[in-house]
Amino acid sequence: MQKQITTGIHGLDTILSGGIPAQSTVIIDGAPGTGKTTLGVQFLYEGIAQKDEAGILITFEEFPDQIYDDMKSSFGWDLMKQEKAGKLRVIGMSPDIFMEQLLEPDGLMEQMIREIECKRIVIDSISLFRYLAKEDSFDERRLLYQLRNILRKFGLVSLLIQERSDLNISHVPDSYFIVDGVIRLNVRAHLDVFRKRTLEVVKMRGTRVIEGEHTYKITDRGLYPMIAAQTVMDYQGAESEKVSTGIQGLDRQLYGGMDRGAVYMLDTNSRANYMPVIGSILSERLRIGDNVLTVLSSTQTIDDLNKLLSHHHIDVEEVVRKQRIHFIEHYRRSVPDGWENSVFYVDQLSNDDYNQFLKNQCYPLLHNGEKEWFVYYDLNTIITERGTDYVLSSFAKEAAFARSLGMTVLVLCNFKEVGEQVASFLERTTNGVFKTWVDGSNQYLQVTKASNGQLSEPYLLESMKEHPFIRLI
Amino acid sequence: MEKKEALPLQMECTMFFQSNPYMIESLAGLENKLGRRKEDLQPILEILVQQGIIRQIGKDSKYLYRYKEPDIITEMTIPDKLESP
Repeated sequence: MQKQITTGIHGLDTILSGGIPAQSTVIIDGAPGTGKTTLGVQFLYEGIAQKDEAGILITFEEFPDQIYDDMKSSFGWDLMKQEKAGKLRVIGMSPDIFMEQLLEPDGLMEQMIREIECKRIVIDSISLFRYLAKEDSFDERRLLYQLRNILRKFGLVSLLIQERSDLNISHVPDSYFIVDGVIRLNVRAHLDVFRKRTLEVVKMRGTRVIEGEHTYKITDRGLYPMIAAQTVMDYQGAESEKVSTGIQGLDRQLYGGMDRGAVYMLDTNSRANYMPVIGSILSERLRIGDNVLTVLSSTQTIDDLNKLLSHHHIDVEEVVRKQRIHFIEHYRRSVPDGWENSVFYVDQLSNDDYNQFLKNQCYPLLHNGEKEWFVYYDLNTIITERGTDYVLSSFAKEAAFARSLGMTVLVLCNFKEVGEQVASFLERTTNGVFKTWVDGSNQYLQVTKASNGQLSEPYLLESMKEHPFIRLI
Repeated sequence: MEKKEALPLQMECTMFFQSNPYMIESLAGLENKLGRRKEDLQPILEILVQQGIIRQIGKDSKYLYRYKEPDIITEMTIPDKLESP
Protein backbone atom coordinates (compact mmCIF):
# COMPACT_ATOMS: atom_id res chain seq x y z
CA MET A 1 0.00 0.00 0.00
CA GLN A 2 1.18 3.56 -0.72
CA LYS A 3 2.36 5.84 2.07
CA GLN A 4 -0.62 7.63 3.52
CA ILE A 5 -0.82 11.21 4.71
CA THR A 6 -3.05 11.63 7.73
CA THR A 7 -5.54 14.43 7.34
CA GLY A 8 -5.47 14.98 11.11
CA ILE A 9 -9.26 15.21 11.02
CA HIS A 10 -10.89 12.96 13.59
CA GLY A 11 -12.97 10.31 11.90
CA LEU A 12 -11.83 11.12 8.36
CA ASP A 13 -8.55 9.24 8.76
CA THR A 14 -10.51 6.22 10.02
CA ILE A 15 -12.84 6.43 7.03
CA LEU A 16 -9.73 6.58 4.77
CA SER A 17 -8.02 3.66 6.59
CA GLY A 18 -5.22 5.95 7.73
CA GLY A 19 -5.25 8.93 5.42
CA ILE A 20 -4.91 10.13 1.85
CA PRO A 21 -2.30 8.26 -0.24
CA ALA A 22 0.82 10.38 -0.82
CA GLN A 23 0.82 12.71 -3.83
CA SER A 24 -2.90 12.27 -4.38
CA THR A 25 -5.15 14.96 -5.74
CA VAL A 26 -8.55 14.88 -4.09
CA ILE A 27 -11.67 16.87 -4.88
CA ILE A 28 -13.75 18.14 -1.96
CA ASP A 29 -17.13 18.57 -3.52
CA GLY A 30 -20.03 20.22 -1.76
CA ALA A 31 -22.90 22.66 -1.81
CA PRO A 32 -22.64 26.05 -0.10
CA GLY A 33 -22.51 25.86 3.69
CA THR A 34 -21.15 22.33 3.90
CA GLY A 35 -17.77 23.42 5.29
CA LYS A 36 -15.50 22.78 2.29
CA THR A 37 -13.13 25.65 3.06
CA THR A 38 -13.09 24.70 6.75
CA LEU A 39 -12.16 21.14 5.84
CA GLY A 40 -9.37 22.43 3.60
CA VAL A 41 -7.94 24.79 6.22
CA GLN A 42 -8.29 22.11 8.91
CA PHE A 43 -6.28 19.73 6.72
CA LEU A 44 -3.49 22.32 6.47
CA TYR A 45 -3.64 23.43 10.09
CA GLU A 46 -3.63 19.91 11.52
CA GLY A 47 -0.83 19.00 9.11
CA ILE A 48 1.31 21.70 10.72
CA ALA A 49 0.16 21.02 14.30
CA GLN A 50 0.37 17.23 14.19
CA LYS A 51 2.97 16.45 11.54
CA ASP A 52 4.95 19.66 11.16
CA GLU A 53 4.10 19.63 7.44
CA ALA A 54 3.91 23.03 5.79
CA GLY A 55 0.98 23.92 3.57
CA ILE A 56 -0.38 26.43 1.08
CA LEU A 57 -3.94 27.63 0.71
CA ILE A 58 -4.82 29.22 -2.61
CA THR A 59 -7.93 31.33 -2.45
CA PHE A 60 -9.34 32.71 -5.66
CA GLU A 61 -12.31 34.66 -4.35
CA GLU A 62 -12.23 34.98 -0.60
CA PHE A 63 -9.59 37.38 0.73
CA PRO A 64 -6.87 35.89 2.92
CA ASP A 65 -7.67 38.34 5.75
CA GLN A 66 -11.28 37.10 5.77
CA ILE A 67 -9.99 33.56 6.15
CA TYR A 68 -7.59 34.56 8.95
CA ASP A 69 -10.44 36.19 10.86
CA ASP A 70 -13.04 33.45 10.26
CA MET A 71 -10.76 30.60 11.20
CA LYS A 72 -9.46 32.33 14.32
CA SER A 73 -12.88 33.34 15.62
CA SER A 74 -14.63 30.07 14.73
CA PHE A 75 -11.97 27.48 15.54
CA GLY A 76 -9.11 29.32 17.24
CA TRP A 77 -6.74 28.55 14.33
CA ASP A 78 -4.14 31.32 14.19
CA LEU A 79 -3.12 31.15 10.54
CA MET A 80 -1.06 34.36 10.60
CA LYS A 81 1.07 32.91 13.37
CA GLN A 82 1.75 29.86 11.19
CA GLU A 83 2.61 32.14 8.28
CA LYS A 84 5.12 34.00 10.42
CA ALA A 85 6.58 30.65 11.48
CA GLY A 86 7.09 29.85 7.78
CA LYS A 87 4.66 26.90 7.89
CA LEU A 88 1.77 28.31 5.93
CA ARG A 89 0.94 30.61 3.07
CA VAL A 90 -2.58 31.86 2.41
CA ILE A 91 -2.24 33.11 -1.13
CA GLY A 92 -4.91 35.21 -2.76
CA MET A 93 -4.73 35.30 -6.56
CA SER A 94 -6.84 34.90 -9.66
CA PRO A 95 -7.07 31.47 -11.30
CA ASP A 96 -5.32 32.63 -14.48
CA ILE A 97 -2.33 34.00 -12.55
CA PHE A 98 -2.18 30.83 -10.50
CA MET A 99 -2.01 28.61 -13.60
CA GLU A 100 0.50 30.94 -15.30
CA GLN A 101 2.76 30.90 -12.27
CA LEU A 102 2.49 27.14 -11.90
CA LEU A 103 3.53 26.63 -15.49
CA GLU A 104 6.37 29.15 -15.31
CA PRO A 105 9.77 27.52 -14.62
CA ASP A 106 10.79 28.76 -11.18
CA GLY A 107 7.58 30.76 -11.04
CA LEU A 108 6.08 32.20 -7.88
CA MET A 109 4.32 29.00 -6.94
CA GLU A 110 7.40 26.88 -7.34
CA GLN A 111 9.39 29.38 -5.27
CA MET A 112 6.88 29.34 -2.44
CA ILE A 113 6.56 25.56 -2.41
CA ARG A 114 10.34 25.36 -2.12
CA GLU A 115 10.60 28.18 0.38
CA ILE A 116 8.41 26.58 3.04
CA GLU A 117 9.01 22.96 1.96
CA CYS A 118 5.33 22.64 1.27
CA LYS A 119 3.74 19.18 1.58
CA ARG A 120 0.03 20.01 1.36
CA ILE A 121 -1.95 22.37 -0.80
CA VAL A 122 -5.61 23.38 -0.88
CA ILE A 123 -7.09 25.19 -3.87
CA ASP A 124 -10.34 27.05 -3.25
CA SER A 125 -11.96 26.57 -5.68
CA ILE A 126 -11.41 24.81 -8.99
CA SER A 127 -14.96 25.68 -10.05
CA LEU A 128 -13.54 28.99 -11.28
CA PHE A 129 -11.46 27.16 -13.87
CA ARG A 130 -14.52 27.03 -16.03
CA TYR A 131 -13.99 30.76 -16.75
CA LEU A 132 -10.43 30.01 -17.82
CA ALA A 133 -11.42 27.32 -20.26
CA LYS A 134 -11.27 29.00 -23.61
CA GLU A 135 -13.32 26.76 -25.79
CA ASP A 136 -15.40 24.04 -24.20
CA SER A 137 -15.64 21.61 -21.32
CA PHE A 138 -12.78 19.62 -22.84
CA ASP A 139 -10.49 22.58 -22.24
CA GLU A 140 -11.62 22.71 -18.61
CA ARG A 141 -10.80 19.02 -18.28
CA ARG A 142 -7.39 19.59 -19.84
CA LEU A 143 -6.67 22.40 -17.36
CA LEU A 144 -7.54 20.17 -14.42
CA TYR A 145 -5.45 17.35 -15.81
CA GLN A 146 -2.52 19.72 -16.18
CA LEU A 147 -3.00 21.00 -12.64
CA ARG A 148 -3.13 17.47 -11.21
CA ASN A 149 0.11 16.55 -12.97
CA ILE A 150 1.95 19.65 -11.76
CA LEU A 151 0.84 19.14 -8.15
CA ARG A 152 1.92 15.52 -8.32
CA LYS A 153 5.28 16.57 -9.75
CA PHE A 154 5.83 18.71 -6.66
CA GLY A 155 4.95 15.69 -4.47
CA LEU A 156 2.01 17.44 -2.84
CA VAL A 157 -1.15 16.05 -1.33
CA SER A 158 -3.76 18.35 -2.81
CA LEU A 159 -7.33 19.12 -1.94
CA LEU A 160 -9.22 20.82 -4.75
CA ILE A 161 -12.41 22.40 -3.55
CA GLN A 162 -15.30 22.19 -5.97
CA GLU A 163 -18.58 24.00 -5.55
CA ARG A 164 -21.66 22.01 -6.35
CA SER A 165 -24.62 23.87 -7.70
CA ASP A 166 -26.12 20.83 -9.39
CA LEU A 167 -27.80 18.99 -6.53
CA ASN A 168 -28.64 16.06 -8.77
CA ILE A 169 -26.14 13.57 -7.34
CA SER A 170 -26.67 11.14 -10.19
CA HIS A 171 -24.74 13.57 -12.38
CA VAL A 172 -21.04 12.74 -12.32
CA PRO A 173 -18.80 15.72 -13.13
CA ASP A 174 -15.89 15.16 -15.55
CA SER A 175 -13.46 16.26 -12.85
CA TYR A 176 -14.20 13.10 -10.84
CA PHE A 177 -12.48 10.98 -13.48
CA ILE A 178 -9.24 12.95 -13.49
CA VAL A 179 -8.43 13.09 -9.79
CA ASP A 180 -7.34 10.33 -7.40
CA GLY A 181 -10.11 10.86 -4.91
CA VAL A 182 -13.45 12.54 -4.33
CA ILE A 183 -14.93 13.44 -0.96
CA ARG A 184 -18.47 14.69 -1.16
CA LEU A 185 -20.09 16.86 1.49
CA ASN A 186 -23.86 17.02 1.64
CA VAL A 187 -26.42 18.87 3.66
CA ARG A 188 -30.06 17.89 3.87
CA ALA A 189 -33.15 18.41 5.95
CA HIS A 190 -33.26 16.50 9.22
CA LEU A 191 -36.22 16.24 11.62
CA ASP A 192 -38.06 19.04 9.81
CA VAL A 193 -36.20 22.00 11.30
CA PHE A 194 -32.61 20.76 11.41
CA ARG A 195 -29.97 20.18 8.81
CA LYS A 196 -27.87 17.07 8.67
CA ARG A 197 -24.42 17.18 7.11
CA THR A 198 -22.89 14.06 5.63
CA LEU A 199 -19.46 13.21 4.23
CA GLU A 200 -18.92 10.42 1.73
CA VAL A 201 -15.69 9.23 0.15
CA VAL A 202 -16.96 8.55 -3.35
CA LYS A 203 -13.56 7.58 -4.73
CA MET A 204 -10.05 7.15 -3.33
CA ARG A 205 -7.32 5.38 -5.24
CA GLY A 206 -4.77 3.43 -3.23
CA THR A 207 -6.62 2.95 0.06
CA ARG A 208 -9.65 1.16 1.40
CA VAL A 209 -12.43 3.37 2.63
CA ILE A 210 -15.39 2.89 4.93
CA GLU A 211 -18.30 3.28 2.58
CA GLY A 212 -21.45 5.20 3.32
CA GLU A 213 -22.57 8.69 4.22
CA HIS A 214 -20.91 9.66 7.48
CA THR A 215 -22.67 12.32 9.48
CA TYR A 216 -20.47 15.19 10.58
CA LYS A 217 -20.82 18.24 12.76
CA ILE A 218 -18.97 21.51 12.49
CA THR A 219 -17.69 21.92 16.04
CA ASP A 220 -15.38 24.48 17.63
CA ARG A 221 -12.52 22.22 16.50
CA GLY A 222 -13.58 22.05 12.86
CA LEU A 223 -15.32 19.24 11.02
CA TYR A 224 -16.04 16.21 13.17
CA PRO A 225 -17.20 13.20 11.15
CA MET A 226 -18.79 10.23 12.88
CA ILE A 227 -18.36 6.84 11.26
CA ALA A 228 -21.59 5.75 9.56
CA ALA A 229 -23.46 2.79 11.03
CA GLN A 230 -22.10 3.36 14.49
CA THR A 231 -24.36 3.57 17.50
CA VAL A 232 -23.31 4.04 21.10
CA MET A 233 -21.24 1.16 22.45
CA ASP A 234 -22.65 -0.95 25.29
CA TYR A 235 -20.53 -0.55 28.38
CA GLN A 236 -20.10 -4.35 28.36
CA GLY A 237 -19.37 -4.59 24.66
CA ALA A 238 -15.65 -4.09 24.70
CA GLU A 239 -14.78 -6.28 27.66
CA SER A 240 -17.05 -9.33 27.49
CA GLU A 241 -15.76 -12.76 26.51
CA LYS A 242 -16.28 -13.44 22.83
CA VAL A 243 -17.95 -16.47 21.28
CA SER A 244 -16.68 -17.01 17.76
CA THR A 245 -19.26 -17.47 15.02
CA GLY A 246 -16.75 -19.40 12.93
CA ILE A 247 -17.25 -16.84 10.15
CA GLN A 248 -14.16 -14.66 10.02
CA GLY A 249 -15.76 -11.54 8.57
CA LEU A 250 -18.64 -11.65 11.03
CA ASP A 251 -16.29 -12.12 13.98
CA ARG A 252 -14.22 -9.16 12.83
CA GLN A 253 -17.33 -7.02 12.62
CA LEU A 254 -18.27 -8.06 16.17
CA TYR A 255 -14.73 -7.41 17.51
CA GLY A 256 -14.05 -11.13 17.99
CA GLY A 257 -17.49 -12.71 18.04
CA MET A 258 -20.78 -12.75 19.90
CA ASP A 259 -20.66 -11.70 23.56
CA ARG A 260 -20.87 -14.67 25.89
CA GLY A 261 -24.05 -14.56 27.90
CA ALA A 262 -25.87 -12.40 25.34
CA VAL A 263 -28.98 -13.01 23.26
CA TYR A 264 -28.77 -12.65 19.46
CA MET A 265 -31.42 -12.76 16.80
CA LEU A 266 -30.93 -13.89 13.21
CA ASP A 267 -33.60 -12.21 11.14
CA THR A 268 -34.10 -14.02 7.90
CA ASN A 269 -36.52 -13.87 5.01
CA SER A 270 -37.98 -16.96 3.44
CA ARG A 271 -35.69 -16.94 0.41
CA ALA A 272 -32.45 -16.63 2.36
CA ASN A 273 -30.49 -19.74 3.16
CA TYR A 274 -29.52 -19.18 6.76
CA MET A 275 -28.40 -22.77 7.44
CA PRO A 276 -24.69 -22.16 6.68
CA VAL A 277 -24.70 -19.37 9.28
CA ILE A 278 -26.39 -21.61 11.87
CA GLY A 279 -24.17 -24.56 10.94
CA SER A 280 -21.04 -22.51 11.37
CA ILE A 281 -22.05 -21.03 14.73
CA LEU A 282 -23.26 -24.34 16.26
CA SER A 283 -20.31 -26.38 15.00
CA GLU A 284 -17.88 -23.75 16.28
CA ARG A 285 -19.47 -23.95 19.73
CA LEU A 286 -19.30 -27.75 19.84
CA ARG A 287 -15.74 -27.74 18.56
CA ILE A 288 -14.67 -25.31 21.30
CA GLY A 289 -16.31 -27.53 23.93
CA ASP A 290 -19.59 -25.74 24.68
CA ASN A 291 -22.81 -27.71 25.10
CA VAL A 292 -25.78 -26.98 22.85
CA LEU A 293 -29.49 -26.93 23.54
CA THR A 294 -31.67 -26.51 20.48
CA VAL A 295 -35.39 -26.32 19.82
CA LEU A 296 -36.14 -28.19 16.61
CA SER A 297 -38.33 -26.37 14.15
CA SER A 298 -41.14 -27.59 11.94
CA THR A 299 -38.84 -27.47 8.93
CA GLN A 300 -35.78 -28.89 10.63
CA THR A 301 -35.67 -32.45 11.87
CA ILE A 302 -33.04 -33.96 14.10
CA ASP A 303 -31.72 -35.68 11.01
CA ASP A 304 -31.34 -32.39 9.17
CA LEU A 305 -29.38 -30.96 12.07
CA ASN A 306 -27.25 -34.09 12.21
CA LYS A 307 -26.41 -33.70 8.53
CA LEU A 308 -25.69 -30.01 8.91
CA LEU A 309 -23.30 -30.48 11.82
CA SER A 310 -21.61 -33.48 10.19
CA HIS A 311 -21.10 -31.32 7.11
CA HIS A 312 -19.26 -28.91 9.41
CA HIS A 313 -17.01 -31.77 10.56
CA ILE A 314 -18.73 -32.45 13.90
CA ASP A 315 -18.99 -36.04 15.08
CA VAL A 316 -22.61 -35.72 16.18
CA GLU A 317 -22.86 -39.34 17.45
CA GLU A 318 -20.00 -38.62 19.82
CA VAL A 319 -21.51 -35.33 20.96
CA VAL A 320 -24.88 -37.02 21.64
CA ARG A 321 -23.19 -39.88 23.47
CA LYS A 322 -21.43 -37.40 25.76
CA GLN A 323 -24.77 -35.63 26.37
CA ARG A 324 -23.32 -32.38 25.02
CA ILE A 325 -26.32 -31.67 22.82
CA HIS A 326 -30.04 -31.71 23.68
CA PHE A 327 -33.05 -31.22 21.50
CA ILE A 328 -36.50 -29.89 22.35
CA GLU A 329 -39.02 -31.41 19.96
CA HIS A 330 -42.50 -29.97 19.35
CA TYR A 331 -43.32 -32.67 16.78
CA ARG A 332 -43.13 -36.35 17.58
CA ARG A 333 -40.69 -37.32 14.85
CA SER A 334 -38.39 -40.30 14.79
CA VAL A 335 -34.87 -39.99 16.13
CA PRO A 336 -31.82 -42.17 15.48
CA ASP A 337 -31.31 -45.09 17.82
CA GLY A 338 -29.49 -44.20 21.00
CA TRP A 339 -30.42 -40.51 20.74
CA GLU A 340 -33.64 -40.80 22.79
CA ASN A 341 -32.07 -39.50 26.00
CA SER A 342 -31.06 -36.30 24.26
CA VAL A 343 -34.56 -35.39 23.13
CA PHE A 344 -37.27 -33.68 25.20
CA TYR A 345 -40.71 -34.15 23.66
CA VAL A 346 -42.92 -31.17 24.42
CA ASP A 347 -45.64 -31.76 21.82
CA GLN A 348 -48.17 -32.77 24.46
CA LEU A 349 -47.42 -29.88 26.78
CA SER A 350 -49.67 -26.88 27.25
CA ASN A 351 -48.00 -23.50 27.53
CA ASP A 352 -48.06 -23.69 31.33
CA ASP A 353 -46.65 -27.20 31.29
CA TYR A 354 -44.03 -26.11 28.79
CA ASN A 355 -43.02 -23.36 31.19
CA GLN A 356 -42.81 -25.88 34.00
CA PHE A 357 -40.73 -28.15 31.78
CA LEU A 358 -38.28 -25.34 31.10
CA LYS A 359 -38.03 -24.53 34.80
CA ASN A 360 -37.85 -28.05 36.17
CA GLN A 361 -36.02 -29.98 33.49
CA CYS A 362 -34.18 -27.65 31.18
CA TYR A 363 -32.79 -25.04 33.53
CA PRO A 364 -31.40 -27.58 36.03
CA LEU A 365 -29.68 -29.28 33.11
CA LEU A 366 -28.12 -25.99 32.09
CA HIS A 367 -27.07 -25.30 35.67
CA ASN A 368 -25.35 -28.64 35.83
CA GLY A 369 -21.68 -29.09 35.13
CA GLU A 370 -18.94 -26.69 34.23
CA LYS A 371 -19.59 -26.47 30.52
CA GLU A 372 -20.85 -23.33 28.85
CA TRP A 373 -24.20 -23.62 27.10
CA PHE A 374 -25.24 -22.31 23.76
CA VAL A 375 -28.95 -22.21 23.00
CA TYR A 376 -30.37 -22.06 19.50
CA TYR A 377 -33.99 -22.04 18.48
CA ASP A 378 -36.41 -20.98 15.81
CA LEU A 379 -38.78 -18.48 17.34
CA ASN A 380 -41.26 -18.86 14.51
CA THR A 381 -41.83 -22.45 15.65
CA ILE A 382 -42.57 -21.27 19.19
CA ILE A 383 -44.95 -18.66 17.78
CA THR A 384 -46.70 -21.27 15.64
CA GLU A 385 -46.94 -23.81 18.43
CA ARG A 386 -47.47 -21.59 21.46
CA GLY A 387 -48.82 -18.35 20.04
CA THR A 388 -47.56 -14.78 19.84
CA ASP A 389 -48.87 -13.92 23.31
CA TYR A 390 -46.80 -16.69 24.82
CA VAL A 391 -43.68 -15.36 23.11
CA LEU A 392 -44.41 -11.80 24.15
CA SER A 393 -44.91 -12.80 27.77
CA SER A 394 -42.11 -15.35 28.06
CA PHE A 395 -39.32 -14.24 25.73
CA ALA A 396 -38.04 -11.41 27.89
CA LYS A 397 -38.06 -13.70 30.96
CA GLU A 398 -36.25 -16.49 29.11
CA ALA A 399 -33.70 -14.06 27.72
CA ALA A 400 -33.05 -12.62 31.19
CA PHE A 401 -32.69 -16.10 32.63
CA ALA A 402 -30.26 -17.13 29.90
CA ARG A 403 -28.17 -14.04 30.55
CA SER A 404 -28.12 -14.73 34.29
CA LEU A 405 -26.75 -18.21 33.60
CA GLY A 406 -24.17 -16.86 31.18
CA MET A 407 -25.73 -18.77 28.28
CA THR A 408 -25.33 -17.43 24.79
CA VAL A 409 -28.55 -17.60 22.81
CA LEU A 410 -29.18 -17.41 19.08
CA VAL A 411 -32.78 -17.07 18.02
CA LEU A 412 -33.93 -17.46 14.46
CA CYS A 413 -36.86 -15.32 13.45
CA ASN A 414 -38.49 -13.85 10.39
CA PHE A 415 -39.28 -10.30 11.47
CA LYS A 416 -41.58 -9.78 8.50
CA GLU A 417 -43.64 -12.81 9.43
CA VAL A 418 -44.08 -11.88 13.08
CA GLY A 419 -45.13 -8.31 12.33
CA GLU A 420 -43.60 -4.96 13.07
CA GLN A 421 -44.67 -4.69 16.71
CA VAL A 422 -43.41 -8.12 17.75
CA ALA A 423 -40.22 -7.62 15.76
CA SER A 424 -39.54 -4.33 17.47
CA PHE A 425 -40.12 -5.95 20.89
CA LEU A 426 -37.76 -8.82 20.04
CA GLU A 427 -35.13 -6.47 18.69
CA ARG A 428 -35.26 -4.47 21.90
CA THR A 429 -34.94 -7.57 24.08
CA THR A 430 -31.88 -8.94 22.30
CA ASN A 431 -28.29 -7.76 22.54
CA GLY A 432 -27.55 -8.16 18.87
CA VAL A 433 -29.30 -8.69 15.56
CA PHE A 434 -27.95 -10.21 12.35
CA LYS A 435 -30.03 -9.99 9.27
CA THR A 436 -29.78 -12.10 6.15
CA TRP A 437 -31.87 -11.68 3.05
CA VAL A 438 -31.95 -12.28 -0.66
CA ASP A 439 -32.12 -9.35 -2.99
CA GLY A 440 -32.21 -10.16 -6.67
CA SER A 441 -29.76 -12.95 -7.16
CA ASN A 442 -27.55 -12.27 -4.14
CA GLN A 443 -27.77 -13.06 -0.46
CA TYR A 444 -26.69 -10.45 2.05
CA LEU A 445 -25.81 -10.43 5.74
CA GLN A 446 -25.76 -7.36 7.93
CA VAL A 447 -25.24 -6.72 11.64
CA THR A 448 -28.02 -4.30 12.50
CA LYS A 449 -27.50 -4.27 16.26
CA ALA A 450 -24.39 -5.08 18.27
CA SER A 451 -22.99 -4.31 21.69
CA ASN A 452 -19.93 -2.65 20.17
CA GLY A 453 -22.21 -0.15 18.49
CA GLN A 454 -20.87 -1.08 15.04
CA LEU A 455 -23.61 -1.66 12.54
CA SER A 456 -22.16 -3.25 9.47
CA GLU A 457 -22.65 -2.48 5.86
CA PRO A 458 -24.66 -5.15 4.05
CA TYR A 459 -22.11 -7.83 3.16
CA LEU A 460 -22.57 -10.18 0.24
CA LEU A 461 -22.52 -13.84 1.26
CA GLU A 462 -20.40 -16.05 -0.94
CA SER A 463 -20.41 -19.85 -0.83
CA MET A 464 -17.14 -21.68 -0.22
CA LYS A 465 -16.19 -25.29 -0.64
CA GLU A 466 -14.68 -25.63 2.84
CA HIS A 467 -15.97 -24.98 6.36
CA PRO A 468 -17.59 -22.57 7.22
CA PHE A 469 -18.87 -22.75 3.61
CA ILE A 470 -19.67 -19.05 3.49
CA ARG A 471 -17.75 -15.84 3.70
CA LEU A 472 -18.59 -12.19 3.83
CA ILE A 473 -17.61 -10.04 0.88
CA MET B 1 -7.27 62.07 -10.24
CA GLU B 2 -6.33 64.93 -7.98
CA LYS B 3 -3.40 64.38 -5.63
CA LYS B 4 -5.60 64.87 -2.54
CA GLU B 5 -8.02 62.24 -3.88
CA ALA B 6 -5.18 59.83 -4.41
CA LEU B 7 -4.21 59.69 -0.77
CA PRO B 8 -7.24 57.71 0.52
CA LEU B 9 -6.80 55.23 -2.34
CA GLN B 10 -3.12 54.94 -1.51
CA MET B 11 -4.08 54.15 2.10
CA GLU B 12 -6.70 51.67 0.93
CA CYS B 13 -4.19 49.84 -1.26
CA THR B 14 -1.57 49.83 1.47
CA MET B 15 -4.01 48.40 4.00
CA PHE B 16 -5.20 45.82 1.48
CA PHE B 17 -1.71 44.48 0.83
CA GLN B 18 -0.72 44.67 4.48
CA SER B 19 -3.77 42.64 5.58
CA ASN B 20 -3.26 40.16 2.79
CA PRO B 21 0.52 39.78 2.62
CA TYR B 22 0.32 36.89 0.18
CA MET B 23 -2.18 38.43 -2.20
CA ILE B 24 -0.62 38.37 -5.66
CA GLU B 25 -2.65 40.15 -8.31
CA SER B 26 -2.55 41.84 -11.66
CA LEU B 27 -4.03 45.26 -12.28
CA ALA B 28 -7.18 43.63 -13.63
CA GLY B 29 -7.41 41.35 -10.59
CA LEU B 30 -7.00 44.31 -8.22
CA GLU B 31 -9.71 46.17 -10.09
CA ASN B 32 -12.09 43.33 -9.22
CA LYS B 33 -10.91 42.81 -5.69
CA LEU B 34 -10.75 46.45 -4.65
CA GLY B 35 -13.67 47.63 -6.73
CA ARG B 36 -11.66 50.52 -8.20
CA ARG B 37 -10.99 51.49 -11.78
CA LYS B 38 -7.70 50.43 -13.42
CA GLU B 39 -6.82 53.95 -14.47
CA ASP B 40 -7.15 55.16 -10.87
CA LEU B 41 -5.24 52.22 -9.47
CA GLN B 42 -2.27 52.22 -11.81
CA PRO B 43 -0.61 55.47 -10.66
CA ILE B 44 -1.21 54.53 -7.01
CA LEU B 45 0.44 51.15 -7.47
CA GLU B 46 3.42 52.85 -9.10
CA ILE B 47 3.76 55.12 -6.05
CA LEU B 48 3.56 52.14 -3.67
CA VAL B 49 6.22 50.32 -5.67
CA GLN B 50 8.46 53.39 -5.50
CA GLN B 51 7.88 53.63 -1.75
CA GLY B 52 8.86 49.98 -1.32
CA ILE B 53 5.49 48.97 0.12
CA ILE B 54 4.67 46.57 -2.69
CA ARG B 55 6.68 44.74 -5.33
CA GLN B 56 6.06 44.59 -9.02
CA ILE B 57 6.82 41.23 -10.57
CA GLY B 58 6.76 40.10 -14.16
CA LYS B 59 7.49 41.55 -17.55
CA ASP B 60 5.98 42.70 -20.80
CA SER B 61 3.43 44.86 -19.00
CA LYS B 62 1.85 41.73 -17.46
CA TYR B 63 2.81 42.92 -14.04
CA LEU B 64 1.77 41.34 -10.79
CA TYR B 65 1.74 43.17 -7.49
CA ARG B 66 2.39 41.77 -4.05
CA TYR B 67 3.20 43.07 -0.59
CA LYS B 68 6.80 43.64 0.35
CA GLU B 69 7.55 42.77 3.93
CA PRO B 70 9.44 45.64 5.62
CA ASP B 71 13.10 44.80 6.11
CA ILE B 72 12.88 45.35 9.85
CA ILE B 73 9.82 44.16 11.66
CA THR B 74 9.49 45.32 15.22
CA GLU B 75 6.80 44.18 17.56
CA MET B 76 6.81 46.63 20.42
CA THR B 77 4.88 46.54 23.63
CA ILE B 78 4.34 50.04 24.81
CA PRO B 79 3.91 50.22 28.60
CA ASP B 80 1.09 52.26 30.06
CA LYS B 81 3.49 54.29 32.19
CA LEU B 82 6.92 55.38 31.31
CA GLU B 83 9.63 54.07 33.55
CA SER B 84 11.43 56.77 35.52
CA PRO B 85 15.14 57.02 34.75
